Amino acid sequence: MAVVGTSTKRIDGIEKVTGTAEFTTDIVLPRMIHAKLKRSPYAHAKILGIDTSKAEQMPGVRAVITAADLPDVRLGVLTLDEHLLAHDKTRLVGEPVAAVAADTPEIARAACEQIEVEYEELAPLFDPEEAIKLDPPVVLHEEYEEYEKLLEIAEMDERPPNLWQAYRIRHGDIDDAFKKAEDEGGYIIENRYATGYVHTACMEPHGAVAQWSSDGSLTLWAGGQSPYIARDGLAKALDLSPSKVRVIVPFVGGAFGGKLTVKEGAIAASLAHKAGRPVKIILTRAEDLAATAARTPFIFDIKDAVTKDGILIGRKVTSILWGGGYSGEGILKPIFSTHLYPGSYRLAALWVDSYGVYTNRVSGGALRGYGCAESAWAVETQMDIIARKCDIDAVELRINNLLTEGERTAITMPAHAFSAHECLTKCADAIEWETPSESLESPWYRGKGIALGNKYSFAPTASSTELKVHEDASCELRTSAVDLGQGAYTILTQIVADEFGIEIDQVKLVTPDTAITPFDHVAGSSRQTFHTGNATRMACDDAKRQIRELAASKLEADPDDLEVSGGRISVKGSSKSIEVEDLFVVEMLAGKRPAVDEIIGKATWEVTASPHDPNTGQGEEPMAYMGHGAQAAEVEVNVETGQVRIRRFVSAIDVGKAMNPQGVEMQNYGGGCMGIGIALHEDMCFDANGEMTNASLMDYKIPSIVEMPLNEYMESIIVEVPHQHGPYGAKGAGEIVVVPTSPAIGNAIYDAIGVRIWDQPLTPEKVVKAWKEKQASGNGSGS
Amino acid sequence: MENFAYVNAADVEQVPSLLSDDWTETKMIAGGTDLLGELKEYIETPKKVVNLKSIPGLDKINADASGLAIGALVTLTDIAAHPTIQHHYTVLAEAAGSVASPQIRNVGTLGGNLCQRPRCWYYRNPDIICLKKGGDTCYAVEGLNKYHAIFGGGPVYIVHPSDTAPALIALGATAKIVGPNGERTMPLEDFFVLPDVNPQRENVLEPNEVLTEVHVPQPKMGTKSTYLKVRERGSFDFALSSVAAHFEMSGGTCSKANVVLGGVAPIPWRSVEAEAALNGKRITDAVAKQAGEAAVANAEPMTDNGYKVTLTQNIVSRAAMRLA
Repeated sequence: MAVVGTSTKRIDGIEKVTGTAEFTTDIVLPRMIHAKLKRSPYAHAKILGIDTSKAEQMPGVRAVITAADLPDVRLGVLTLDEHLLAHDKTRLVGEPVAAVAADTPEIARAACEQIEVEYEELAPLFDPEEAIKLDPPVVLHEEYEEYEKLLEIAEMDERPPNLWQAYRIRHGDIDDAFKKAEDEGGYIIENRYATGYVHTACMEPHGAVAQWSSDGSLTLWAGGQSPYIARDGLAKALDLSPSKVRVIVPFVGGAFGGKLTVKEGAIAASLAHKAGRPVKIILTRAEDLAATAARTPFIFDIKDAVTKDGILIGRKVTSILWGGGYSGEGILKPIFSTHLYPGSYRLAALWVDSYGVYTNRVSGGALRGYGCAESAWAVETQMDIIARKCDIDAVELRINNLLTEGERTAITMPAHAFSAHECLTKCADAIEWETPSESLESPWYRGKGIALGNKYSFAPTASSTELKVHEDASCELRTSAVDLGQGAYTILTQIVADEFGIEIDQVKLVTPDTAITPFDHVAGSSRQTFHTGNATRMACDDAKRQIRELAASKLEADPDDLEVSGGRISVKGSSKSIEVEDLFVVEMLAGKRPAVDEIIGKATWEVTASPHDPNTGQGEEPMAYMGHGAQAAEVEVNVETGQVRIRRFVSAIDVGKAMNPQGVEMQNYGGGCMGIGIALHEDMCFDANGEMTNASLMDYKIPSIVEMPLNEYMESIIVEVPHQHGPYGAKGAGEIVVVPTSPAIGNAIYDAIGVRIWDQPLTPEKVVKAWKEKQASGNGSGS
Repeated sequence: MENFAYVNAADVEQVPSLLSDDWTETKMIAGGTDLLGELKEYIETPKKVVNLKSIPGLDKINADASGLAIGALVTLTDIAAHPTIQHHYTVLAEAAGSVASPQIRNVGTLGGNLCQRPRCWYYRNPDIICLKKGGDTCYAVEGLNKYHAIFGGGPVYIVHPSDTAPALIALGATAKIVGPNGERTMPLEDFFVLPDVNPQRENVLEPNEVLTEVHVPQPKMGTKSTYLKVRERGSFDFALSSVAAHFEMSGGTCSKANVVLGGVAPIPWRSVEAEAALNGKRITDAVAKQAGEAAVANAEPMTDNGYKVTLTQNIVSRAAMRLA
């Protein structure tokens, strides 16, 4: 029976539920000591001096480091603007300025308090609209021009000094579109939207264990998303050759985009070097929430030109990503967020100016949906407003504007395996879109909302795997793909089992270890099933080719006439066959050579892409693939208390081919839950000093099970429109599941009580205020 | 967390002698759902922790004709699930059942729920020495105060986080306290103190005193009660605003209304204004609306928490309608 396409129990499930799975925090090495970071209390300050002498003299303290102990290297993703430990300035509250390793975490913490840092406070800058000015009140990076940059930004007459990203789309004649809408009785619809500060809030906080060998090589255990990005980052930060760095990824307790860098790991490694002992660092929950990269807000100004029949003919967008002290993983967001402006829709004219700026708050990072989840909030709310303005059903309006297979979007992405229509209609059917919500007794109101979404998977990118076939016909897959909880290990195991016609438990996975497993780009951008899946299939093919060649002489047949399945090699159309085991007859003591020493298949799957012109947003095929999905929500809103309950939730996503249908279902549910939290609750709050005030899981409100609809009202729909390049036609599912959630819920709230809330999250406070304003003005605020 | 000595108390009488007369030296632990967080976050660093769970008999609920006697170690789960409490002291069962999450209610005790420390994010920040912790500033005044007090604030603007306290005050409960000089009893309403009396504490307890029992008089025939709580999340969340309402009814008229608010003031806040608007009235929608308006007539919202005035007004009206 085919294993791919059949619901399969997670191969890591037993270990995880029985508590035997080893996470970074479980690792204990002989002579290991513990690290803590001394962090800046100021959002913006000059460092005049650091005195570590008191800390160094404390019993149990083994090493103290500051920037002076580290190579003077600036790090970053594409703009290299950040030191491991603050050099001359700190640019956000919580930026590490020194680090201590000691016998216990308590001693290390106490020693950090004994480190005296002399600061000269500088005026902080928090407002992105101030930050983007040509003459801003504060400049964060005076030496920006000298920084190494790996990506070109759009040309500007003069770069605002706090700006680190600028990207434009110039497609079609935008002025003509607005003129046409005006002249021909259409509509011009203009609104401002904002997303909130959201944290990945993984169950497992950031951490690492670092150990040096006597030959000067470093081993780091860290539950991150990419061992190779980590390896290269450590090598750069510590001025080592990558060959001297080994990164091992234990089980990971969630990542969601938040575990791409190894800042803490590199600091632990530096301490370990100085102390001559292994060092463990595990961030506290407060540090994890307040001082690791977050999904920082976007501000979107969108102006749409629509014909009177509800056809979108032009869209103009200006957006600012509210970046933090450093550009970090936020660097590509102003670019990638633009994929949603056309999204699945045909747009004759699209004009976008998208920026990212520094401010003295937490740095912008990745979080499930990287830019798309944010721009979808604006775009799909806008679509609902347009539908109501044109008095056209919101599903029908969307369908009327959809692209068709083979067309190119306004940003030249080909519409392939284009399933938006199917996702949308299946979703609408499941929530009984045609039937309006029942009326409830005051103060509760019910309403339905729907939204479309897309998630690209970036390119260029590559994945390599190795597949070793053992004597007993079991297979061992060596991969640097990481299972963050998304189920990658199970899917890759399924592929191998399927390709070799063997059972799941005959497949062994060798998990990420850069000393053993080959390159894989990253567990990110919903790419693991697509890219590593392809590489795995190809490595299986390579191993089977070797087996056929080895078996050919024994079976006296042409290799092309052989097939490998279930541990046997058979001649097609004949009863002649041998066991895989027969290839491994080892008779060395009898003076014979082994028939085979090792069978190892190898493959690299690569997708190239040409970068877009940052001045026009035009180019060749820019991404590996584009995913589609739709979600619908029925909400209940209490206008007296502002509480919003999700009564029903439907998530219909296209995965091309559901490799593990149960896994896709879990993505639909889990993503829905995360999306509900982002839409309704999650909100990092910062006081006037730039410090996060709610850095605990009591006050930073991730959803609980109670926020989810009851089982029978939570529906997962799997759409399968195969992609020509996906393994078995598959596309990724990991991120699309959070993209349409917020606008679906926001649109449902409007349907229920007739108010729009423009900035996430949609808290009781905002609902009550908006309702009160509506009562006072006698009408809705949605226009 | 810092190391500390751990001592099991043998009986109630022994507890004061195990405790220091300095707040920073010793702490009591029962369910530990609040204290452990404070220890781990270095909000408190006591030298000694005195375990109360080792005291026999404090985990009992006794219901008789005089009312309820609830030991300080009774868990919130046991209170919420107690049939007599559900039936005759509904507001208390509902309030206890609304606390946090099932796991926390299974270990969290009544004594702990009444004596828990504030959730103010400045107070809970180990790097901030605020007025509540012996400093000289309440950072909520100039800072972010969307969860802070709209009644009774100053010089500290925390809100009291307990759900059971408003319910018990609405029911007219009394508290039994044991200290070095023996036992004392007082109305639970008098147990809590405003910050202008003591900015660093939320109640009258001395560092070497322990709350051992709460007594609730048997409600008169025909009384009705309910607890409404607004929170951002559906569970595991403190009240943005809550109301405990306990009405004595005679012939469709509310003869005596007890209305106590939670989550809006540094102590459970009796709304004498709402009570006056309800006493002696037949509860119509209009009367309920007036009660809500009266409840917030004297509210003093801060910069970010004006919405709590609206919430409070609405839930007081809603509670009154529910009991009509």
